[in-house]
This record gives sequence, C-alpha cells and structure tokens, in this order.
Amino acid sequence: MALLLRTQFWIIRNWLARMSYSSVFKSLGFGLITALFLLLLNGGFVRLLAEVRQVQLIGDLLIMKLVSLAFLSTFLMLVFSATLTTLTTLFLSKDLSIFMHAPLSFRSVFMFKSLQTVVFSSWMVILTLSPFLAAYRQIYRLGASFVLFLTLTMVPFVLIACGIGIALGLLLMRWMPTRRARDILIFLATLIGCGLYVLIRLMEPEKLIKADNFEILMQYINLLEAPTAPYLPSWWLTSAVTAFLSGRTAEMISTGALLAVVAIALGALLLWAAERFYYAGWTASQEGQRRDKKTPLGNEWAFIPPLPPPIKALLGKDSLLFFRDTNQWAQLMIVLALMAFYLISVSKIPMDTPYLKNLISFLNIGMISFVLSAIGLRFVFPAISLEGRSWWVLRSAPIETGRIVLIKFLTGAVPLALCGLLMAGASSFLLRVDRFFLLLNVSTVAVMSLTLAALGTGLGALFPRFHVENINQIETSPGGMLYMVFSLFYIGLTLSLEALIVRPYYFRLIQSPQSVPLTLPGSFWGLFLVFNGILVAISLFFGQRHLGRMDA
Amino acid sequence: MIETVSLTKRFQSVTAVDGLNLTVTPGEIFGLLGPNGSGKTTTLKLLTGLLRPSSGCALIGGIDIQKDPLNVKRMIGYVPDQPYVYPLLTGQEYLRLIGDLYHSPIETQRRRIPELLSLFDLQDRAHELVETYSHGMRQKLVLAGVLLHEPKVILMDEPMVGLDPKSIRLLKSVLGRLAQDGVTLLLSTHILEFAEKLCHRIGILQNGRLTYIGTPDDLQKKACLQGSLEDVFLKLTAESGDVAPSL
Repeated sequence: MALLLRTQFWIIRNWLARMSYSSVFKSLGFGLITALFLLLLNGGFVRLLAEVRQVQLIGDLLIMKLVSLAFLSTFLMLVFSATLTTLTTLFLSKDLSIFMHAPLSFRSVFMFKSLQTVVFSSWMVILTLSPFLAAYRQIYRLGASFVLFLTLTMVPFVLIACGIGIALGLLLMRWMPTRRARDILIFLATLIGCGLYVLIRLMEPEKLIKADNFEILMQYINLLEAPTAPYLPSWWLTSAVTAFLSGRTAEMISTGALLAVVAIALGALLLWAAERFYYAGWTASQEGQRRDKKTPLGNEWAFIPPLPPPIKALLGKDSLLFFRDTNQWAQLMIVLALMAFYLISVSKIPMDTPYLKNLISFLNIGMISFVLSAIGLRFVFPAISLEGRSWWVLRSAPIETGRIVLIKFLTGAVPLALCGLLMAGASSFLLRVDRFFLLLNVSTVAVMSLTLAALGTGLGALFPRFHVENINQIETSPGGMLYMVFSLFYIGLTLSLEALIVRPYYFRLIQSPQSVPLTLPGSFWGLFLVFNGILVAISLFFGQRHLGRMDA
Repeated sequence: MIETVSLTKRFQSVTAVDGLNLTVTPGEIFGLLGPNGSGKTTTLKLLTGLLRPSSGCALIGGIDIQKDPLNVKRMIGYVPDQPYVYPLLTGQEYLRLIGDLYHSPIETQRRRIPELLSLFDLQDRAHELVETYSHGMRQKLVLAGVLLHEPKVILMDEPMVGLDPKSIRLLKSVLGRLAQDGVTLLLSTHILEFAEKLCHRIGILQNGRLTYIGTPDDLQKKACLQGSLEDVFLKLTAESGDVAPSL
C-alpha cells in the first residue's frame, strides 16, 4: 500500500515538475475562474440564508432543513458517483493489469484503488457543496473551530457514502461479472438513483416556502423539526452541525463518534468482502461483450438519412457507439430524471398572483437553459474526447477537422433543441402562460440550445481529453468546468437582455391588458439572433482550429 | 514519393526528430530501425500529419502534408504502433467506416471487405465487437483497413507486433506484392530479420538523427562485419555516429 501511494505521489510530482509555463498559466486561469464562480455562488447562498433566517420563529429551523436536504443530496450523489467510479477504478483501470501481476496483496491493491475512488468521486461534490457551507458559517458568524469540526465530521461522512458506493460496485461485479451485465446493472443502478432523486422531489420541499398552506403554524414547525431520513449519515451530520451551533458538546461528540465508528466498521466490512469477491470480479470483468446480430454488409448506417458517405459514416458510427455504451444510457437516465424533476417542480409551483405567474414564466427560460447546459455538459462537451485513443483514425483520414467538429455540433444540437423545445412547451402548458411568453419561451430556448451545443462542442474541442478512463473525468475536467461557467454567464446575459422587453410588456399588461401586442419585437430578435450566431461561429471556429493544430 | 526536408520535431526541451532528410522512391520498402526513443514513431506521425513539425517539411507525392493535408491523406495508409480501434464497433463496421471516410465506392467495399477479412482470417469474427478481439486481431483489422482504400504510400509503425508467425508470413508476402505494384512502404520495426529480408533500404535513427542509411548489404560492409543484420545493428548503434555517412 505504501509503495502504491508513493508511486502515485511520484506521478503527481513528475506531472507538476514537467508543467510548461503555458500549462501553469492555463491552470492558474482555470483556478481563478473556478474561484470566482464559487465566490459568486457563495454570495448567492449568503443572501438566501440571510433572508431565510429573518423569517420570524422558524428562520433557523428552515435553515436546518435546508442543511439536511443539502447533506442528503450530497450523500446520495456520493453513493451514486462512487458506485460508477468503482467500476472503472477497481475493475477496468489499465494499471490494474500491472498491479495484479506484481507481488502485491489484493488487499493492498483494493485499498489503494478504493482510496482513488473516494478522491475521484468526492472532490467535485465537495467543491460544489463548499459555497453553501461557507455561507452557513458566514451568516452564523462561526469561527475556525467550526471549519475544523465540519472537516472532521465530513471525512467519515464522505467515507461512509463512498464506502457504500464501493460495496455496491463490488456486489454488482460479483453477481453479474461480464461487461454486458455490468452495463445493464449500471443502467439499473442509475434508474434506482434517478428514482430516489424524483422521490426526494416528491417530498415537496416547496412546502417550505409556503407556510400558509398549513392550517396551523405548529404543524409547519413539526415538519421542519422532523428529521430528514434519520437513519442516513446525512442526518447525523446535520445533527452534529446544529449541535455545534447550539453548543451541545455531548451531542456533537456522540454524533461525530457515530459517524467515525460507522465509517471504520464499513471499512472493515469492505476489506472482508474484498478478500472474497474482488479478484473473481476483476478477472470476470476482463471479458468483452458478445453480439449475435449480423448486419448485412452495406447496411451498417442504414438508419441514417441519405447524406454524403463520410458524413453518414461518422453519424452512424457515433450513434452505434452511443447506444452500445450503456454508460451513456446511465447519463441519459439522469437527464430524463432532471427533466422530470423540472416539470414536476413547475407543476407544483403556486401561482396565486399574476406577478408570480409572469415572474415564473420568465425565469422558466433560465431554468430550462440551465437544465440544457447540464445536458450539454454530459453529452455535447465530451463528444470529441470520447473519440479517445481511436482519434488517430479520424485524424489520419482525409476529412477536415472543421467537418468533424460540425458533425459533433449537429449530433449534439438536434437532441438538445428537442429536449429544450419539449421542456419549454410542456412547462408553458403547465404554467398556462399567455401567447407572448409561449413565443418567448419556445423561440429563446430553441436558439439557446443551439448556442449551448456550439459552446459545448467548441470547448470540448479546445480542451479534449482523449486518454481518460471514464466519461466522468471528461465532465469534471477544467474544460468541463469552464463550459458550465460560460454557460451560466451566457444564460444570465440572455435573461438580462430579455428583461428589457419583458418589463415593458408586464407594465403595459397591468395598465391596459387589451392593448398589449402579443408578438415579440423584430429588432430584438434580429439582435438576439446575431448575438447567438456570433457565439456559435466563434465557439466552433476556435474549437476546430485548436483541434486541427493539436498533436495527436 | 516520400521526402523529408530538415524535418524536426521538438517536445519542449526534447528533440525527437532532428533535421531529418530522407527520400523513399515509389515501389520501395524502406525500414526505419533504431533503439527505443530514437524518433521512429514521431517520424511516422509527422509523415501522416498526426504531429506538426517544429521546422522543416514532409512531402508525400510532392505535396506538403501541412499545406494540403487532405490530398496527402487520401494517398496514405497508416498503421499505428498500438492498434486502438473503436472497441464498440464490429470489425465489419470499422472497415465500412474506413471505406466511407476514404470515399471508397460501396460496390468496391462490398467486394473488398469480405476479401480482406478472409485474407486476415477475421471472417468468422467480423460481426463481433472489436473489444473482444486480441491485440493481433486488432492489428490485422487495422492492416485490412489500410489495404481497403488502396493507398499509394503505406506507413507502418511496428506492424508485426502481436501477429502470429502465419500472419507475419502473410504480411511479408502482401507487402512484397504491394511494392511490386508500385506502392511505397515506410515501416519501423525492431524485428531485424524481417527488415533484412523485406526492406530494399534501411535507415538507422539515433537520438532523432539518421545515422546510417543504405541497403542491408551496404550496412554490413560499413560495419566491417560479417554476420546477421542484428550484429550490424548492435555494432552501429553502439557507436555514436552523428552524421549519416553516404554509402
């Protein structure tokens, strides 16, 4: 184990030592953008929590509920992320063939790979949670002792969540060892994960913002005080944090100790299970999947419309790879759950006043485009990187990189636009918006989905990662983070621009509803299309230029 | 058919290929030898356009690969050192992809693909995913892909690695036949016996520089040594020659 850790340290040290000035500069740039983004998020959370805290009687209870929901979702995300990461790190990672043939105990390899799993699956989740926790610390003016306590309790919390994920991965590979079965089970695991996600959504947290829905306030207070999933470590962590806030030392120690004991016990259980299942699971995972279907020669891309042969072949190849890679199905299920989650939320939003109705109808554009950017991160951004080590096939073939980038853009833009239009249409129907907002929603989302697809393709080409072992490493790369940051800025900018036409419309609607034109001004649309056209062109141009000049 | 003029490639502080001047004529089989890390793979990647030269140029059929990459790529077939092929495509689908990318008419593909699969003994596995193939089978699939679009120039990086003796013999005969038909072949190899028997000329790369060039017989004379090419190679690479002597 010490040897493996030392090797890992050497790899990192050599990588740092070999960084060129441009790489250092680039990394600093990424760091700065990420820090800015986290600071912005933190600012938003501080405002939110400060306002919630001002609610008389129940402000602190509401915050506690929010903290428990944040920990619960973090816990579920960690479990899910660790399950998927385990399949790569513990079973399919390339260095395993070296480790398994070396005179190392399986226990050491398992422990080392488990540690990698914990790091890979948790860093992004923790980073996303940190602005919220920092805001919590700020509004309660907690000192360094809180940071220390939170760090100490977060460690076993993360270990438990990842430990459960590793155990699930281990069991999946033990019971269904071939890669085909593994893929099917990834699919099922995702389904369950998504089901849980939707289930949480059905717990109706929106009730938290509508205290007047309750006949008496006490009922509401009872709801707030009730533990959120009391048997899960997320609730133990919430209890520890609230105990710290109230200065209940005994409870702090007992909940902290509970987290630590469970983490240690789970670790011991995992080692026991690994002794029995790990090696068998690893050897079985080396098998490839078999196919029985025989496609007649010449009909390989028959499902693609008539197009020039190279384009048809590339589209056909990408489609086949997408549907055969069930990791992509897992991603697809997450997207469907995300869309379902959004539409269920929309259907449950209370629309008591015209003001609220119009505000929600307008913000709907922002929410849909946020969901689209998340879909873009999962499907469009990784498209170039997913060529992987086979990239030489296209790079040495007589086809322009510009054309490859364009094909990747189109294969991303069409499904993204369909998703966007579906969500815009369905949410407009659920919100019962007027014709003005229907037109605004549908047309804006259609254009934005194309721009987001171009942004994803362009940045995916600017920051390709051909040598990764799983798609999560592409999404969580600096390029992926940059895509999310740019997307959010773009969405914010678009909403700010559209507010210029929505505001006068809204005021005229209040003053004389009959005289309001229900169409969108042409000049606005002209400018909007030009702005988006420029963004699309810039993204694709720089992406293809970089890809064409890059050493393969 | 292949010409490099002061071709140089630097990776940060390392010069992988250093002012390479080389000419390979049509129908010639040229073997590139050299110790590990001598710049063989980099040279082949520069000739295919997978890498951009730091200075100098590479011409295929008189066309600079950097100036007109598409026309050059239509002429060449490349076999990389590692046969990474889309693991979730079947062997047949991979060949169809290559056929379409290189604008090979569908009628030609319908005729050639079964022929090539059969030539490399892959016909029974044509409908299975590449991820189930062994290293040698993937190598044969890549070779079949190269032959499918009938290139004028073939660049091969260690084409024998992973092949069984029967396949190596087959490859030798296929390459010999291609050279007779006027196809230019540049290959890097560590199997010296293969180079000795197949290549018309041999070049030895050391630290990115071409230190020796000539026929296998010339090399033996130069090394003042009677024996196999392996003896000659070991003697020549043990000496630290900086400039390629004219033979």
